[in-house]
Amino acid sequence: MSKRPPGARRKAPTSAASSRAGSASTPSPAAAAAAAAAAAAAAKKAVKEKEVPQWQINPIYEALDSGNHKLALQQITKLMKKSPSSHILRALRAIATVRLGNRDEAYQIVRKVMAEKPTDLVILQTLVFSLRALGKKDDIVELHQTAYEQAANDEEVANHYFMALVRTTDFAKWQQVALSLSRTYPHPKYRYWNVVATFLQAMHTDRNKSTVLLTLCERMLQKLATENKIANAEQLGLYIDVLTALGRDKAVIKEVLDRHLHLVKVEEEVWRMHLDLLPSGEERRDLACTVLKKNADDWAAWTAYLDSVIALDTPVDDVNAYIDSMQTSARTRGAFLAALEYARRRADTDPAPMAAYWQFIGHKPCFYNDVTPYLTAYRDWVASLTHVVQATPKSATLGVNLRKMRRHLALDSIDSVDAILDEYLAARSVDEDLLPTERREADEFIALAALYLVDGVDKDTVVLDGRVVRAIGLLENGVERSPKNFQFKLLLIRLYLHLGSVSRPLALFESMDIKSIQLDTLSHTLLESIGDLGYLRAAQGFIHESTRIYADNERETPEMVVQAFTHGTVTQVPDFIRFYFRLAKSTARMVARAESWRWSLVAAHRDVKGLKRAVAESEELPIDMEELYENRDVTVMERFVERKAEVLVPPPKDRVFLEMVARAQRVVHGVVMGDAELVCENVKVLMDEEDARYKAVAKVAAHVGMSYLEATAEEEQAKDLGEHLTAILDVLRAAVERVQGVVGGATTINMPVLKALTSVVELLHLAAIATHPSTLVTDKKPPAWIKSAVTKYRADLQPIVEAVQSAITEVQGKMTSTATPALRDAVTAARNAHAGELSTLSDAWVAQVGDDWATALSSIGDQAAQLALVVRA
Amino acid sequence: MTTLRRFRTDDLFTLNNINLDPLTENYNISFYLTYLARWPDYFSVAESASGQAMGYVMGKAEGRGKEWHGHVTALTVGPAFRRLGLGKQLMQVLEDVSEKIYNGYFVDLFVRASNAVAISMYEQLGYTTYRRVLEYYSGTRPEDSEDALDMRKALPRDVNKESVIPLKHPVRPEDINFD
Ligand SMILES: CC(C)(COP(=O)(O)OP(=O)(O)OC[C@H]1O[C@@H](n2cnc3c(N)ncnc32)[C@H](O)[C@@H]1OP(=O)(O)O)[C@@H](O)C(=O)NCCC(=O)NCCS
Repeated sequence: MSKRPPGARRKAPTSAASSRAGSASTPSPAAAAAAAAAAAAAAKKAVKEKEVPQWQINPIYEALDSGNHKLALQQITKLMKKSPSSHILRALRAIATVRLGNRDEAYQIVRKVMAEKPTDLVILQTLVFSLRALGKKDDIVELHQTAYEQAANDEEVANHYFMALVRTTDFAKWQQVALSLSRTYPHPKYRYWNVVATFLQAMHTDRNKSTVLLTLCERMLQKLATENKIANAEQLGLYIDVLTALGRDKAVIKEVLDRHLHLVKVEEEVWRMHLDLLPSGEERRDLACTVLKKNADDWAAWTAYLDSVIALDTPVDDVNAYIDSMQTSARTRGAFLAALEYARRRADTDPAPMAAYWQFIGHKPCFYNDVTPYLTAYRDWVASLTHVVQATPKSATLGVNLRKMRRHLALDSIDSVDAILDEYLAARSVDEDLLPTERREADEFIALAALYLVDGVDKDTVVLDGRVVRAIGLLENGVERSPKNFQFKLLLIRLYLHLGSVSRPLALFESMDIKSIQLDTLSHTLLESIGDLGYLRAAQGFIHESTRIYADNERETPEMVVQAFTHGTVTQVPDFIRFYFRLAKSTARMVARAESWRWSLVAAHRDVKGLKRAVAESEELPIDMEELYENRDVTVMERFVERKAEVLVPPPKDRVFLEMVARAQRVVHGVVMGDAELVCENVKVLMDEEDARYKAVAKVAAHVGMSYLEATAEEEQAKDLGEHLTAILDVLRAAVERVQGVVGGATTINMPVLKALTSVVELLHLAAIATHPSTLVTDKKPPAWIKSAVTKYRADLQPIVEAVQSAITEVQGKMTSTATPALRDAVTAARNAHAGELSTLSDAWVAQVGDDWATALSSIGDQAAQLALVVRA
Repeated sequence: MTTLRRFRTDDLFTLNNINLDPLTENYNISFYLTYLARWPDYFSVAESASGQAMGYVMGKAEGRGKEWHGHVTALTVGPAFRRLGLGKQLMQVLEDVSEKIYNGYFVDLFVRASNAVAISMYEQLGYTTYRRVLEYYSGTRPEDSEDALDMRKALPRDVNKESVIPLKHPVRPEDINFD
């Protein structure tokens, strides 16, 4: 039996997820298995440690493997009596100790072993297990660096050091070690590691430096090329990527490619690259024709062909003749769309190519997608088109596509809803024998009708618009019939959020089985609304679940960088690093962090203690927003219009919001934790906030910060302190007045109403921070001038809090007096509308929405009551 | 109008119109990136003229000796782009890679026994059922688990088409192992 770190016995879940040597320090079972192999290789070296014989150690592994950490600890303690300084025993002891929950002690053990500078790989890997579990990334690098410095001639140790480094983003250091490896050892892979490291450095530095570094990469690759050491498609790919990044001429790149053409094994791949690199002209045109002969649908080839014939001034008739011949011989979308593209490039609006495309593929769902870039030129033609929908698949799709074009060109309106529903009724039987997992074309009519219904709804109105309820009715009945239709669900989520309801959106979200990277791209619609609507607990739960992907990224992606190096797929390394940053610095992630900060603080604000804990636990937002990546998907929900604005919910939260929260966070942090400098650095930006959406919050946070600064000043600042507190009160009074206006006019409960209430509670919470004398001064007993200012401030806040509370009560009253009856009326109206059987909603549905409102209002009410106590205390 | 090209990590952020499909799995980060790190030439995407992803195929090479073959791990086409021949084109790419780059004996895949659409496509492309794998797909509830069909198509290297001779009896998931 070979020596292996604990966990080695379990098998990897899938072969694809398993990894190989090089990821030896991963905590996953798969990597542990790989580590065992490395350990076996190192077994010879381990023997010369001549401390504890292997047969005595094996039982410890077994105990750890089976989760019996106490037993393992006993065995270790016994053996350590004879060998107190044994590295392996102490390293295993650290593992058992971590797993028993004694993290500090475990870390101490590891650090002590580290101080003795071990170089044995088995020891290193065993220590890494504990460091991983303790989240000590820097120590892992340090451990390997020390070993590397001790055993400079051990190639394996050096490899491990490099792999430890590539789990970080310290590219300069990667490069240092790769360079030294490539000078010490002959294997060319080290030179590629050096190129990759240099390339990444270039990608993450300023322009001038970047060019120098890229030129260095180019020179290294040129040298490798002259030595015939470009050995596979990956290495060639890296060469091309470097040249592309340098902005080298396509001709130069093509020359490099052509010298290594034997490395590209699939002919189509060569064609594709050549089409990319050749200048438009005869050669590119001829190659395009060769490709098209084999695959007449290849769009890259069509683009190359059209570029070339235009550059060559080929007579229009010749080009059309060629396209025609392709259309008859191959009958692919590409050949028909090429005609449209050619017409567009010549600004020719003769409808013939569009009519041909309609004839050819108007009965396929892709048609609308395909023609959107061209539609505006054919408005008259579309307007003149008619189609009577019948119960055949082709006819249904033709009808849908015609409606989509008409919507895109604004030829239909809400007046068409009834006709569209009739078309749905005429068509829907064609979908009956499809599997439940298949797309149902007639569903598109429902989506179109729902969109028309809500097009004209004012999302800021506080009166229930019956069209929203009818649209929900259509979509809910649609989902019942087609439970897998995600377009229905995406739209429904938005309509419910507008109604102020979240339980159904959460269920719909869950039913789409959204996970992994989708959590980054698709969570935003819900995540950015739940808290604003007042569902503070639900908001925090949702944020918690949807941000798991970022922890996955931290854990998994660095291991994948190691894999790419191990497998020699050098072009993937920069891609993986980019992927890592796209998630680590995702706007969606930062918005989630901002929301989490907002709502966890409000919820925790019962007293100074709660507030302090929440502040200490919160994650900081970055100030530099330039570096953020935008991954939020705002296009997957189809709207069939040119401009893809959101439907009834606000647009995704932007940088202005993030910057405001980032500053407010720092100010509050500084005030609560007693860091005047932090407050000082950030108040001014908040004070100057001009955006109407955030002005109130920014002002309150800024004056809270200023109050703190005055109260902690060396000299008495009674007057200034008083002024800042008054300024807070002024903002609050204005906000309350606004809310009273919204609430007073409201006959329903919906997003604008709930948002107004939540936002004023959030302001109260910020304002209440200034009531805590202990946070306003550094020493224990506040001087009299502060005491009296705060006492007055508390007294002034009282009526404001009461006004907020009565606004909440007023809305609660409206729930039964006007809001629920209005909802019931709207449900009746939807049932009585044209084709009303398609938009019926049950009484239980009304009750569910009512329950949601009650939940939101009581959550908001509870927070207000909690703050009332804080203010009174 | 399709551009077939290599899949890149950036594409993972723009697949929602495909991956919200109920039969398409969303894997964790390691899964996708392992495929890219080990078999980058086996991962291709079909892109529309406007740059939208319409479908993709993800595969690998595995097996010893005469079992050396290409495997289809995932094949999917966005609901709006079906029945246009994209599935067929993507399978062609995978077969080309299996034959020309990896020189395998055959291509194989697992498909849910209930996925009639996919099965009929594979049959049309010349795949036949080699064996049935009992309860290959596991669900949270026992009644959610489902058998897979292991379908194969011989490549030119398997001159006598030995690799596709069907097994008489179904097998269990633990009986299939190519490592
Ligand atoms: C299976 C799937 C990939 C097919 O993709 P596709 O691009 O629509 O398939 P193609 O257009 O290339 O079809 C090729 C042939 O397969 C057959 N076929 C495809 N879809 C079919 C269907 N719904 N019904 C009957 N036959 C079908 C036809 O013979 C078709 O040729 P034809 O259109 O000339 O008659 C697609 O339906 C899909 O993504 N499904 C969900 C994910 C999935 O199940 N993947 C397979 C997991 S193993």
